[in-house]
Amino acid sequence: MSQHRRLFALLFAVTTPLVVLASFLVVISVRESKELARQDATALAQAGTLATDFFFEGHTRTLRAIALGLGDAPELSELELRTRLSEFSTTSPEWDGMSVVRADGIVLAGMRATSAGADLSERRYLKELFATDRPVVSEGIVSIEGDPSVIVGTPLRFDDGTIGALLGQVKLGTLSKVLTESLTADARVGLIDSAGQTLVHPDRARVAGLLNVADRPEVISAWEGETRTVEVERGGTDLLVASAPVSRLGWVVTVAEDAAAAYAEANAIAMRGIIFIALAASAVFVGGWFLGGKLNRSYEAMHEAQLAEAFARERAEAALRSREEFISIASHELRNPVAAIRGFGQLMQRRLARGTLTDDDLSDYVDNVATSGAYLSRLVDDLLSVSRLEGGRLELVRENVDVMAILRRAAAEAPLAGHPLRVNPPAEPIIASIDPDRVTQILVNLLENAAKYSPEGAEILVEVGLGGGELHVAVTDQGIGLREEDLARLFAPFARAANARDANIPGLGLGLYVSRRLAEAHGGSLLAASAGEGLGSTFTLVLPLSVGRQSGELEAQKMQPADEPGTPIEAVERSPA
Amino acid sequence: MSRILVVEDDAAIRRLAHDLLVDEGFEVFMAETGQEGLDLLPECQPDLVLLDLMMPSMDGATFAREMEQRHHALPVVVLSGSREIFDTAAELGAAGAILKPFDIDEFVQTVRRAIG
Repeated sequence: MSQHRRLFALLFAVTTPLVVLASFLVVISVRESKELARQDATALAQAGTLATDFFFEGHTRTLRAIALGLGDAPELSELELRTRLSEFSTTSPEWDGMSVVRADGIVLAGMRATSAGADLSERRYLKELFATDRPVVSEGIVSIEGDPSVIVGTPLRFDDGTIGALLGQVKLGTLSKVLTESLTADARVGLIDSAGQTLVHPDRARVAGLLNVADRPEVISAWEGETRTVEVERGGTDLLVASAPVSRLGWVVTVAEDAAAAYAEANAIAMRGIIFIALAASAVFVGGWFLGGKLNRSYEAMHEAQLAEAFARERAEAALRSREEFISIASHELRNPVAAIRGFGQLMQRRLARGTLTDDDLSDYVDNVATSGAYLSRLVDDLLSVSRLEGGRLELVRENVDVMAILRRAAAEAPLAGHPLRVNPPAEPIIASIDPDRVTQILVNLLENAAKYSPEGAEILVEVGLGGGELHVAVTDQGIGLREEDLARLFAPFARAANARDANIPGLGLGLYVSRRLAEAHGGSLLAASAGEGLGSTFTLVLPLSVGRQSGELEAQKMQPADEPGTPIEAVERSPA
Repeated sequence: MSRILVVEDDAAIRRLAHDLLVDEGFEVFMAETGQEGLDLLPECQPDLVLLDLMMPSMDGATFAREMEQRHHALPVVVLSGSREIFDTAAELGAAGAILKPFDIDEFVQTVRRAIG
């Protein structure tokens, strides 16, 4: 798993710069898109200023044309002049009235009778008009109904050579309509005069309320001649506001859009970008996960191979250790009888020399030397057998022999350590063509094992019989028994049952291996059975009978009266242990 | 007269050691297993333990450690057919080591040296 995590981290490291790059590109796209949105807003504002410009240009031209026909105004009566002005006013519904003013600012006539005689000399636009001799537009006027209007003025030359002015009051209805409806449906367009008074606003009530926005940054910047956009929050909404100055008038057109709507495309790009990055990242991660898993699996496979190799090596080493252990055990097993033979020999010499060797001691010493010699002989036989078996050099010397005779010989040779031996002989003598030395070796091993692994004094049962044309010799003990898992490996060279090792019972681990191999060399087999640990074991030697099962001579010679079925016998031929 | 406890599972070697040590004038006690040896300790109060290292049930090293835990700080001479005997002897702090098979004179000398 840690490997998987490492791969994942690697992938993460590789992916992260790509994600960052993609994010960067998205940010640029979003920024460009936002810039476009701002340019759109700015363009709208500029369009608004143009519309405003044209509006006033048109009315100024109209007014100048009318002014050309009013040179005789001072000579007309107030009523005559008023009537004429009324006629002119009808040329456009936007005219809310016209007035003719003298150079001193006194109104000669207006749309209403009350207008005449009014003094407008202090009006800023009129001063400007007389000062510059150019058409002017006043600051905005908002009537009680909330309809904004302005006064447009143009210089007027009377026939008598004096100067005056023709003023026309223009309602901003059309301009307002153009600005708020024609330009765009989404944006909210505003028109602000040079005093900061809002003249056009989507919300007319606010115009009526004399909304002054002179302090707003977009207005100030436009007054300074700049066309720009600002992002502001008003009334809880983020707005994108573009502003542009109306040339000559000092007015400002603003275009305010809901930032979310203005940046809809940018946001869409951003959203698409984020989704794309997320999808790409997911794809990379999911792919990476699978790839990582796959690599991990291949790593695991590699690891497994390494493990298998290590396991094989371990097994080889274990086999070597097993052999080394065998050599160690074998040397120990060999050294004990050798030590006894050598030691007793020296002891006998010494006591003989000192004249202290009693007959009883001598007898014991000789017995010990004989027993140790016999044990040494068995060990050497087993070791040589293994050597021959493994070298494929074992040759059987077959003879027709009575099986019971072989059993008696084995019982005599095996160290039974005081365990009583009970033999169930066959109903009739069995003569088999076998190698007597080898079969004796097998039976000695079985009997020795039975004694070694049994509690003191426990009886060992040997049953001899025929079955399926084969000889069966079964050796049953009441010992430590065998675990299920040990039954199979018991016959391997140097193998010893786990519970035998646990109990620290000495042994080479060769006896059963050699015995089975010898049985197989005869064309037979050696079988192990146990009801379980602590419940004793039965080892059965099965050998084919290649020769007839009896011969009278042998029977007479070998059979003993004690060999009745089920009769316990003591192995009388063996030396005392 | 010095007392020696022989702990050896092999009957022949046990008998041999017994007779060799008796001939040298020692009082000899014998145990067939480690457990038997431990049980005999309080009774026989030996001056030295002759210990076989390879025994079933309880091996020599275990016996030596058990003995130490029971506060019997005794000189030990170990006996084994394995060449590892010298390593084990060093580990156990044994007073002597005898490799089987042995010369009986060397056997006796080793025991005598160990008993001091």
